[in-house]
Amino acid sequence: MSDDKSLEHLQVIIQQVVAAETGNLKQLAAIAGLNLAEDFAEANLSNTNLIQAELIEAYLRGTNLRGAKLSDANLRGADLRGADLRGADLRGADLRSANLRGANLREADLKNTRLESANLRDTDLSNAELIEADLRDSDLRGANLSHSKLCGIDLSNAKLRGTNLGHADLRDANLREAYLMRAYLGSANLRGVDLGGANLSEADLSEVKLSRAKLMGINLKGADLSFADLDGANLIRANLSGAHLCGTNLRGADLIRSNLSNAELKGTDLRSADLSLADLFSANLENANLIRANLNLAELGCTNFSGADLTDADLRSANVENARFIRNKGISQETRLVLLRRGAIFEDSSEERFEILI
Amino acid sequence: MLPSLPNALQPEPENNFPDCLYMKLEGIPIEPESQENLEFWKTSNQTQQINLQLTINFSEQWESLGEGRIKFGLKGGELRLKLENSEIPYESRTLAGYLGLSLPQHQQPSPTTKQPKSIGIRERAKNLFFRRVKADSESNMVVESKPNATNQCPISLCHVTTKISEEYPAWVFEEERDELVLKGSLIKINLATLNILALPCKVEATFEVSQRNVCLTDAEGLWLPDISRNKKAVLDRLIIQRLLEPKLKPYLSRAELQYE
Repeated sequence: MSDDKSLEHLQVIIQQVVAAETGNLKQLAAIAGLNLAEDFAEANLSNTNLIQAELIEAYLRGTNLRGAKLSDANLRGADLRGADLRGADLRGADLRSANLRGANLREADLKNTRLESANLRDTDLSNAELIEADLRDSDLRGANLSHSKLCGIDLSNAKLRGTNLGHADLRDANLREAYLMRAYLGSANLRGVDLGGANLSEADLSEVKLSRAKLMGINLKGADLSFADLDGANLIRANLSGAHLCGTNLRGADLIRSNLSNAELKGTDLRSADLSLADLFSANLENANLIRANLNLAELGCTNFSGADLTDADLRSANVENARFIRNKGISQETRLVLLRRGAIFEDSSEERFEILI
Repeated sequence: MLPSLPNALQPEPENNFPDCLYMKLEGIPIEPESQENLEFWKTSNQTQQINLQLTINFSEQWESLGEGRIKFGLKGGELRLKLENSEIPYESRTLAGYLGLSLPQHQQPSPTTKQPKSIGIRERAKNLFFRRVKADSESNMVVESKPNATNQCPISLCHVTTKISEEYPAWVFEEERDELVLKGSLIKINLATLNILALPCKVEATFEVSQRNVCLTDAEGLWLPDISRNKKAVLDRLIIQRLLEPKLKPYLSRAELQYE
């Protein structure tokens, strides 16, 4: 087609689009001889209306969809790599198996969105709303979810290695078997969350709120939980070896059979915690509060109890060989003699005012 | 002694849409430490080096489309250098980071003339529109023609990154402030230091854009100003793909430096 004819043809199409009685983007694209699912990669579709649009496996790589209305849209398997979805309305959208790698979803509304098996690596989801969203088996490695609202979200089996979840609201979220190694969760709200079987080794959980959380069988090896709130948390069989728990609130926590070997528990609040059968070998419990703690049958070899308050603590049948005691409250002379016989080391002659069970 | 390299000897830059993008490349030879018995291109133990200085100006450009016309600008693009008998080590690529684009003096907004100019543009848009279409209300058109008024000349913030994955040096320019398009200039800014390996030596610079870099900022005589966002999105795509992209390929601007 010559240039003049081509230009004439273009003007005709423009007028057809202008005069079209439909507002449907897919139909308008068709009038223009374009395919919405194929021809709009890197296009500017910001603030468009795509409510309930059928965009299965659409190629929208690098597309500007900022502020677009995509609620209940079907984007299953769509290629949205590097797309700009800032502030987009994606409520109830189907994004199962979609590829969103590197996409910007900052402040997007993703309430009740289906994102199972979606690729969300390196995405920016900061300040986004993902309440009740389904992200089972999704890949969120390297993603930024800081300050996002994730209440009731399903992240079971999700890959979250190195993910930033700082200050995120994850109340009552399902993170069972999720992989969160080296993730950052500083100051996140994890009240009532289910992290059973999840891997959080070397993760940063400082100052998180984990009260009432289900943490059975969780791997927190080498994790930083300093000043975290784990009041009443269920940590049965949890692996906390080498974890940093300085100043952590573990009051009334269930730590039966947990592994706390080499853990740093300086100044930790373990009042009424159940540590029966727990492994605390070489753990540092300096100045820890162990009032009424249950240490029955615990492994306390080489544990540092200096300055710890053991008032009414239960140390029956615990292995205390080479455990170090100094300036402790709650250890009577009689108890001290029994512990000495069992291999404990006392480095002072503290006064005993309270009785403990031995 | 270094021979001078008068600008007149260098080919003129080729700027296909000079209002949208104007680019010029200049080479400033770097004097070696010792100037005794030097050839131009090399010394006994030293490679002759050229400082590449870039002048680039971004703005908007009108392009006619039948009885109407559209205005477009750039959100970014790629500056690519093709080198012959020369090299630019990665560490010598100096242009990178956030750069504020300055406005040429004649484009600086004047506080005293701002208001009358604004009215003039609105009036012009209104007149052009009335000639072609019948409008329902006057107020709609005035509001619509306002956002892209050329009297608003904000200084753009441009982010420049160097690409290391490619055979030849490349710089990616991106608009950083979520403004519609890049506007403003970089004048004689150091781009890189070129090492001449042999003569003749040639540097070919091209500024290339893809569809994502092009943005329609205004239109006259083609549709009503209050057109729906969905229709506008389709028309933008259509015009960029069918009208602009073929004209912007393979490059928007080209500059060349030759040393013989």
